[in-house]
Amino acid sequence: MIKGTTKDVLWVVEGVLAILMLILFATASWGPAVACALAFGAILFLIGGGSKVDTMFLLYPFGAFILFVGGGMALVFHYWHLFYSTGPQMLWMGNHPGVTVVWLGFGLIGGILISILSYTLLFEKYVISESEWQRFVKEAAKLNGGEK
Amino acid sequence: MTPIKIGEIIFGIIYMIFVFWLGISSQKKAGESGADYFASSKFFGPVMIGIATATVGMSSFGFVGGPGLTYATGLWLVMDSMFFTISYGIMMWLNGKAMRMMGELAVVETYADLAYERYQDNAIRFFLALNLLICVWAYMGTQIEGAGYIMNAIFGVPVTVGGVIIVVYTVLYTVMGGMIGSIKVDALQGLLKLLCIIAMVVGFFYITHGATNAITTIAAIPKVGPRLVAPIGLLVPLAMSWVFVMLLGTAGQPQISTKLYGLNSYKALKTAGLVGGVSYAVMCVVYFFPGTSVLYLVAKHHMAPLKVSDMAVFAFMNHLPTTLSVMVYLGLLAASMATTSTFLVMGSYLFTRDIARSFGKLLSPKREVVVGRWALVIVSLGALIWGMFGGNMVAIMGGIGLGTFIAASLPVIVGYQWRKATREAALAAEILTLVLSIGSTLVYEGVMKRHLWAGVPGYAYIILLAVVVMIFVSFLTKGAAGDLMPEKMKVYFHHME
Repeated sequence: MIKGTTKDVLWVVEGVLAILMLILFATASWGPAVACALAFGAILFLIGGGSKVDTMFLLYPFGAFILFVGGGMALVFHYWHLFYSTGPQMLWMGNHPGVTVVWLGFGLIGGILISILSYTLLFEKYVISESEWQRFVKEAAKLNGGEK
Repeated sequence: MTPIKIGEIIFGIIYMIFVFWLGISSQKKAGESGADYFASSKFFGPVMIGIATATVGMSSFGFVGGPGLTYATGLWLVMDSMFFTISYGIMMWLNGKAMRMMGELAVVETYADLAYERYQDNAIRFFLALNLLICVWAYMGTQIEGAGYIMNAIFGVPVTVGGVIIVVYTVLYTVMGGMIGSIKVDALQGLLKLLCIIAMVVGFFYITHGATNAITTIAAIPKVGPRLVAPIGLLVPLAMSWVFVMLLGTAGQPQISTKLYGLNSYKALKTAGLVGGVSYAVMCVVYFFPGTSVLYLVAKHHMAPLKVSDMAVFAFMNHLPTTLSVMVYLGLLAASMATTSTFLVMGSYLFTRDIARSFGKLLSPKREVVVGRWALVIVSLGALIWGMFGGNMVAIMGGIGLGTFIAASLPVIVGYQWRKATREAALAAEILTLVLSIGSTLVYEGVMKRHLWAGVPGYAYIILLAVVVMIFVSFLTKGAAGDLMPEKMKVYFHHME
């Protein structure tokens, strides 16, 4: 799914996002700049998934990533503004609500359960299978004439 | 002498003897060829490599500087460290398969080798090596400083002397064991750091009696309290730009990716990713527990405010029972050496292989090891002099490290994911990174003490500009892209996509 023209378009989007971030960071437009940064990371994730990306991949890990990391960042900004000068009026798990969102949304769910665990769980399906690896090794050996 | 000091000295000596043994026990294997000395090609299982990749990303900057920054500026660093965890997964999706496949297609031992295989250009190899060399020196300087603080806090020796002791010791076992020894030691140090993290978590509850108590106490500090406990604290431009920088943080650090060369099978990638990622995530909590504990102690008037924020982790240790204090101490000792050995090997191969090959100089495998060992000693001496006498410049260069690493790595990352990435774009991105790292980060921000737009650190802009150049120049040029790619790369992309 992610190859050829689709991949070209995604790289152009990455370039455009980089230009936007240059402008947004320079003008201290933090919210939109961070939104662009998350979109940039999400597209890298998609590109890493490569040609085998299918609907299932778009649900997990990609969709889950958008939901938890994107949604998490929206909550972080919300609670940051809400308790900016007064201090947190309520605590979640003993922390400022925004910090708890950081722990759970970015660290545990976005980091460990989505970006890291998905690689292990979906390795054969989306990264490379045994048969594909063997085919590749055979062709690599043929190309190198037995030597690298 | 207190029981804590006696425990620290005894365990410290046992640890140093064991680490030294690990280094020299790898000497025979490491001496066989440059591939084994520099990259330890296909030698280790996934657990060892996973822990080694995690530990090499968490240096004394994390274990000493991290708590110091949290103490001085609040909990915003927790958010950005969590993006480092996300980045670990992205690194595996982007780089894992590419690294392993290239290990079958060509003799790749260094990051610059990867760049050369993709673009077939010695100028790119040279500028990439030069950029990485700057980063190695930048990191080494701050690493020596961090190690000095650790030795100073434990043994009372001057910071400079402490730094020298750690570096000389690290050089001795790294010269003998090369990357094989370095990975073994990294894995051991990773385990010690994880133990240290457990001690930090327990110590946090011991000192503060729970997060609720700590956070309400800190939030009550007049004026700054509410912002200290918030997810985006006192340094808004840094916190916001680091979301982007940290998302690329692990993917763009060659010293982490190149550890994957050492995996003994392609299937090991999936376990290494999990072990490394989870270990890394666990280590990231170092940015919360010690710094928050010290903030709590100061807010409660149980201790005076620190004059040097980097002493926060040592103040934390001083308020712990003996067992926990010794566990934290061993983790700090490990942190002071873990990245140093990897950077020493990296600096050595940048001279021996990458820069030499950029000028067409090829050494035999055995000769490469001999020259590599001497280069390692020279790199260490240089870093030592730099760390000892660099003064304020050391801190300035430390800022260059991560940003330049990421920007310099981009042509390789993009090149192995995109057929249309061109030689001209890669070269332009590397030169741009070199010029701006020196001109902007070092001179404009460091020496002239000026700030770029909105207070965002220069390296964030450098990374973004490198992305723009890499992508759009690729559309205007053709070198080593599409049908003009080397034959090996065509095979690579055929199986990669």
